[in-house]
Amino acid sequence: MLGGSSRIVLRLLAAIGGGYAVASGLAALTAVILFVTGGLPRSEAVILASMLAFLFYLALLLWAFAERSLLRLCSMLAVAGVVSWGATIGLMRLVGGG
Amino acid sequence: MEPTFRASMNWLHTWTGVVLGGLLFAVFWMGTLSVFDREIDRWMAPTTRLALPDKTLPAETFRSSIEAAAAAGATIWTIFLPEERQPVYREAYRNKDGFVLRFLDPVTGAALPDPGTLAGTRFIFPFHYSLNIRVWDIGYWLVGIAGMAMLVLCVSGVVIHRKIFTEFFTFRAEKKPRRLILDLHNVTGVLGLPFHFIISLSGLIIFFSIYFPSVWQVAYDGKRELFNRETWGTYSRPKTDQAAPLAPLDAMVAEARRVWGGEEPHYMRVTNPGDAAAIVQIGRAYRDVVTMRVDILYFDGPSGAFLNRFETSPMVTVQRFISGLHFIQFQHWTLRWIYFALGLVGCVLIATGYLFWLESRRRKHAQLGMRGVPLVEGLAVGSVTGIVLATLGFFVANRLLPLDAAFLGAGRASLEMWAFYLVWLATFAHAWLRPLRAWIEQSWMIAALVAAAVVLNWITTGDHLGRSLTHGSLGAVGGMDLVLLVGGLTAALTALKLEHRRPDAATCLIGPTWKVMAAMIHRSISQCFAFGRARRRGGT
Repeated sequence: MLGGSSRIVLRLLAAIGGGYAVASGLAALTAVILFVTGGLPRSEAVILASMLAFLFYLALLLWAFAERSLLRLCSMLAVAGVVSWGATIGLMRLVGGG
Repeated sequence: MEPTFRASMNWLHTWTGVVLGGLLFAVFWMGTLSVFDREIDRWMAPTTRLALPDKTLPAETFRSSIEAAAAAGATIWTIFLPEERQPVYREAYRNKDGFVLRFLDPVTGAALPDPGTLAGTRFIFPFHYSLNIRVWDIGYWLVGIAGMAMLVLCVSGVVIHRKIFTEFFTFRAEKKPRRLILDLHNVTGVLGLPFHFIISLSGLIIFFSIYFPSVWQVAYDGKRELFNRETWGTYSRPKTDQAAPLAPLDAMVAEARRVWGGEEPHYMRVTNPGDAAAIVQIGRAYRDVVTMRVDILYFDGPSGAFLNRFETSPMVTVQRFISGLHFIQFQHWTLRWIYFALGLVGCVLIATGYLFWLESRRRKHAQLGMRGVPLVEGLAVGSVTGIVLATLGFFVANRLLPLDAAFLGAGRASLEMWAFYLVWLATFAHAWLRPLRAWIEQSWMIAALVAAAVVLNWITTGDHLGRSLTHGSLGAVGGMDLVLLVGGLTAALTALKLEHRRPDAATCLIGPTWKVMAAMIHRSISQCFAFGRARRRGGT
């Protein structure tokens, strides 16, 4: 359906933009879980999760270029993005908006 | 996206390298220089080539400076204490006219004349992490992209290679240039891999709040001040608009020393100077530890009473440790030189990556009439020899411009920066206009500018090598001259070699030495492995 160059552009967008959105969502979720459950004080949870965010992003970037199916890549990134951000915002609502 | 994982990683490695190699080289080059940023400061600002006295000045010395800053409308006044690598006091505040930074004599406390240069700590170092583009943090983001790209390149580079261990000891200098370049790329890649991965990751982690702002924004509901207070202990209180003088400052410094078991402060900061709500903040030095620790004592300004001590919590201390690994603010000359060498190894890695890409496509692109190779070659020349030339142009301009230089409303420090950017632009133009000779001519130019820089330093300051290497306080100047000369000599040799390039030319110099060394190391290691295998077989 899509030509070669538009597939590359789409993959780049999914990898760089989508990967960033999912990485920051996962990091935010990690931070919120850590401090909501009382695992760490808030500032420490933020720092730990922010440091992990770079590794999440790295893994997502590598996977985005290794995954053969562009459709699966985009749909999995979308699901991961919605789930991580949804859970993060839901948890923050639960504890009263921070 | 390719049929196999390795093929995908190969694609990713190639294109990330070609597209972002230039940016990455700039960041690596400036980072390598930043390892010696304060030594560059001494070279570029001769008025600060001073010996560090044994005793620090009493804090009371600066009372008049604090009062003057308060009268000029400053709300935060800071003084950084001198240390071995930076033997001057640095006084900093922001008043109605903007940011003020002054260097003070370490013996008398009097202000030194403005050196008229941003030098290493204020041009080269910030270029390394922000490209000196401050608008909307664009520079930070570009460097962040380069950092993530380096991580991607490190991992994909490892995946591409099946026999990474063997390749470490492979340098086939007698083979075609393309093979030689690839071997050099592999050797520098494997040798520097742990350093390059950690230095890129730690560089990103330093700016976590810029690169992943959503994490603290979500957790703190966007309240930046609360986040900073809980994490870094930043503390302030509003002005009362009632004037009050500061209590004796040396008593506060003495109390800080007592709390830290005799350790020295790194800086002293006065918030709301001259006001009844003044706070004196004294931060602990971290010269002898990797961690750039945050250990701050707060005193009430007018009464001098101890208010509060802030130390970072464990996880924040981990972040400060990782930052310390990157910044290397601790005193350790051997490690400092190793950082410098590994930084240069990174530069070689990036440059050979470009060269390999070019050499593998040169013939095919020429046959098919494709524009890729000429375009990328110009980019590579401008990014590699070009930024080296621009840096040298910056140094030479520094020694040529008179202290009161001004042109079109730009002061001396700006003119030096103009020299940097204009030379850099010119190198790109030169590379695209004279593609066949660009590498050679720019290598010759590097050698010429190095000679000019060293001679100009001698003429304008009198600190020639014979003097700078024998006077302890001029060590930084002598060291910089020596490194420049070694670099210039390397550039001249490279130019000569390229001028007389024969198919087997590269074997003459490095080939035999490397081969003998590699063969010896390889043999001893394979013997160790053979021994291990024999023992394991014997055991089972």
